[in-house]
Amino acid sequence: MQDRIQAAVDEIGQVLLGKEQQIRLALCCLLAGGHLLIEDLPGMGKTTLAHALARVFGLDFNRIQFTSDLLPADILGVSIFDQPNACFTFHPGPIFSQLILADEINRATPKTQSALLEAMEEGQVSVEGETRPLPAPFFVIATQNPVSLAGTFPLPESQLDRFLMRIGIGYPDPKAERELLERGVEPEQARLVRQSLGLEDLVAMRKAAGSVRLSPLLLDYVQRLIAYTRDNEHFRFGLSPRGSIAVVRAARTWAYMEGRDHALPEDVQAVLPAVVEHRLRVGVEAEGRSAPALVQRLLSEVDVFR
Amino acid sequence: MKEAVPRLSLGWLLSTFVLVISPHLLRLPIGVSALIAVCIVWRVLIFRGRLAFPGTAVRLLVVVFSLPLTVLSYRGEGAGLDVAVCLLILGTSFKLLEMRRRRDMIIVLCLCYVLTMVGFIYSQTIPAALLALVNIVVITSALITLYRDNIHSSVESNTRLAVRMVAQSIPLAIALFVLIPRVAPLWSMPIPVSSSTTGVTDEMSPGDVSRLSRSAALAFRVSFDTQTPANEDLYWRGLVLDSFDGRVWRRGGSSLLSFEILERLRTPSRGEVLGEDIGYDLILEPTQQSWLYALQLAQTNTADIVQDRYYTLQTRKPVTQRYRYQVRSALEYRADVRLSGALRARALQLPQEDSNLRAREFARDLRRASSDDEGYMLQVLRYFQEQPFYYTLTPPALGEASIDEFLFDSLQGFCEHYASSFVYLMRAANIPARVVVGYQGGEVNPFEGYTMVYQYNAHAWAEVWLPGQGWVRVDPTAAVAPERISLGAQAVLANEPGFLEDSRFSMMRFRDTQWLNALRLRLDAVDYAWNRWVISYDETRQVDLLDSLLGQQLRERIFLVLGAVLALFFLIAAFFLLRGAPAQMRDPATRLYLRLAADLAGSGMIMRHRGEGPRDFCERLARQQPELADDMGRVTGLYVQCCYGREGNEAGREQLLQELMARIRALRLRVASPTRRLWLRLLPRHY
Repeated sequence: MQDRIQAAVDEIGQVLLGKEQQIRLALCCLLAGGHLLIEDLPGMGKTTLAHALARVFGLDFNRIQFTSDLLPADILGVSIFDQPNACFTFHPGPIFSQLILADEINRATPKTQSALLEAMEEGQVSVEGETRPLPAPFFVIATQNPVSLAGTFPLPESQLDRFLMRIGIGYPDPKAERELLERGVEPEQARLVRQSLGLEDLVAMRKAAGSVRLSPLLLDYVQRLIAYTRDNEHFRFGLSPRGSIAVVRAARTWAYMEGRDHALPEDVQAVLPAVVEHRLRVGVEAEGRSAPALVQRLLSEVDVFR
Repeated sequence: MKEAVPRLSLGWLLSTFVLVISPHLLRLPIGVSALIAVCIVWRVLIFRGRLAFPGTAVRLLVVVFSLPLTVLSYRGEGAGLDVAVCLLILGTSFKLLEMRRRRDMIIVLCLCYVLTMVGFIYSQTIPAALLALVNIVVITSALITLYRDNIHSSVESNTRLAVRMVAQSIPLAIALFVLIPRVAPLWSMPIPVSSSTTGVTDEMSPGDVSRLSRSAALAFRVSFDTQTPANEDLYWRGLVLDSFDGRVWRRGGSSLLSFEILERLRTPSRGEVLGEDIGYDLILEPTQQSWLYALQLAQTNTADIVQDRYYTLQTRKPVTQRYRYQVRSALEYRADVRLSGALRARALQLPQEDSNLRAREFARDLRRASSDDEGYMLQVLRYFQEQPFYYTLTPPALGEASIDEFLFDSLQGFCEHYASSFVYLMRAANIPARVVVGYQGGEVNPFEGYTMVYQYNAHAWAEVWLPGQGWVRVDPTAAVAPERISLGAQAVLANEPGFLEDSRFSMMRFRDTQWLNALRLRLDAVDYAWNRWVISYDETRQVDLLDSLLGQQLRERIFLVLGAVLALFFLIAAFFLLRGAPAQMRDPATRLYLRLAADLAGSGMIMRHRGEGPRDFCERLARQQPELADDMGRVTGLYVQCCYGREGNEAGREQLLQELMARIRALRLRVASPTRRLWLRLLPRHY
């Protein structure tokens, strides 16, 4: 199974050069059944990654470009009067799809954002008094641009919390960049990604990842990490129980992707930044430091063994 | 901007500082107070962004100039303590200007604690203690604001917490106060004193004693072991004055000897005790003098007190703080049945150039008319009684021949006039006599049963030596105004114009209002208890108290037990603190693994980072020390399997653990230092 994961990673790696760690994190997030938030500057490959992820799983895929005038009905769907049959028929919106790419999610109004985020949490949508279930694996990959904030509505903490992971992509290293430059821009390149995992793989993997062993020693470590975020004055507030569950879930999946039946402290450390950075706020004491720096501090301050 | 000064904390801190130094402000030179105010205002302006922190040059300049200026402003007073306190306060205010970070604020607050303690040097009264308590609460809540962020910090909640903390610490403070061994100070502080209330002086001229009656200040408080003697028996002897120059009575002869000489002489008292003696406990207010007050005939076995030939008591150092001592006195006694030549000569001395001719003649005539010395004495007393002598605080001024003028012209005087002229008349008739100054009477506090003696109780009387009886106390004032002795100065003098003139606001003036008087007595009782139990709690009293609480045997061991318990406590605390690790690590595999890591660090090969997992550590080690890579890889594999891996059966786990232990031991033997290796070989396998 690990071979197939590696194959999927390699497949995506063809379109997103030199970003294996980010690809693995993104895969880990989807395998753990969580929603993914990709946050980076324009042109860094956010959309490319999202496209490639959808294709590699062979999932039914819809893309929603969020704008400030997007309405909830544009996402969820709308009932329109059907003249011949003299009744209202529901026209499902783009959300009725296994994988949603919500591009530039922070451009939409809070009303629209929350329509999407409700669907993410519940796995169903309520339109005109009728509850309609969403497709079985339901993933949201949202992207946002953290810099040009004019005319945006930043997601509040409560909604950020719904994303299992938030990853950045970052500039490519010189070697990858060189290759990119030599190959030139191919707008449709994500289409080249072949499906290497199926829906049934997803279910099986998720099941297997759920049985990865968490030893008491490891859970002690996780608890120490959480306690640190709650007690240390550098954090404005600590990690919620939902956050700590997310850490463990991601660490298990990561261990599974590494081909182990037990999780190690290194697994926790690998996923921790992506899982907790967007859930933490910098406290008054640490004004001016970034959340990633704080998480690095957290990792280096908390002892693995005691 | 890290750890910047929070707004709430700064406000608290500055008000705390003002509160703490406010009792000191009265004593500080005005320039220093101004400088402190400038510092505070400057700090506020810094906070508001109007001013910058002072640069190094400014700070240096301020320190260099303020030091000599402070010393200069105290020039001539010679009180080192005042200068030191002033410098401490100044230093604290300068620290305000350097206060950038939380650490600095903590320093300032600690200095505030010290300043609060310094206050006790000047005053140890109950109000001072209460003020100190308030100060401590305020300083503590200021400290609390430093450790709370603005969201969780409010004046109310911080104060509540501080009050709770201080309240919790009070029982501990009391226990420490009672139990901590009291050691005599290695050096004593030069205590600055105000010279306004010194009480009786060692000279007596007309008007001296009546001057004291203007004051309602306390002289001393006494509690008798048994019943309080009657008012007319309470003659508190202070000094004997036997040298007269026509106007002023002074000390003379051996009463001028210093404590050291008297101590060396320490002759047995030549007084003869006739009846039962009574014991009492006296707390003397500061007098700046070294003599003490007691009833005749006094005996004491305190090492710091000696008695001279005049039966007066003297202590080693001037009484600059409240001084507590115990005396036993025999009210029935015979003193000096045989009078030595020197003492007799002193007791007969009269001025060389005497202008009191009328008095001399009067004495000569009267002596001739009486059968013996005692008869003459009674005649003189009768003269005082029968002539229209008037007991007053405001007698007319007397001229050169003061005795003559008083006895035959003005006939108005206070006790010093009577005592002085009486002794003069005795001496003129060749009867040894001398003046005694001290206090007479006292007011019993009905709540606690002790006696308060005030400055207005100051009195002067006479002692006459009669053959076969020795020194006999004679109070001519009693002949003129018997109620002065039986009822007390208060009753007689209340309507005199000069009485209590210097104590206009004393509660003494309102003693006719019953509840106010009761309040005054209550307050005094509280103050007395405070002095008796808190201020004068010293080594002897500590031992007495512990003896009565625990019994001697237990008391002698309690310090041993306390010390042992404390030492044990600190040892345990130090052990856990120095070990640096919590005690909850029970997993043997991890313990061994960490020992291995410690050995690796000790050998200087590689230091495990705190947040480094086992595999990362192994990889790093393999990169840095390739020769250990295989061994470490195996150990890490086993360790991971042991601690994180899937749980196998019990036997499998045990086997795994054994193998891990063996491998770790082998690896440690490879990397550890020689001494450590020796330990490893000596200690059991699982160490």
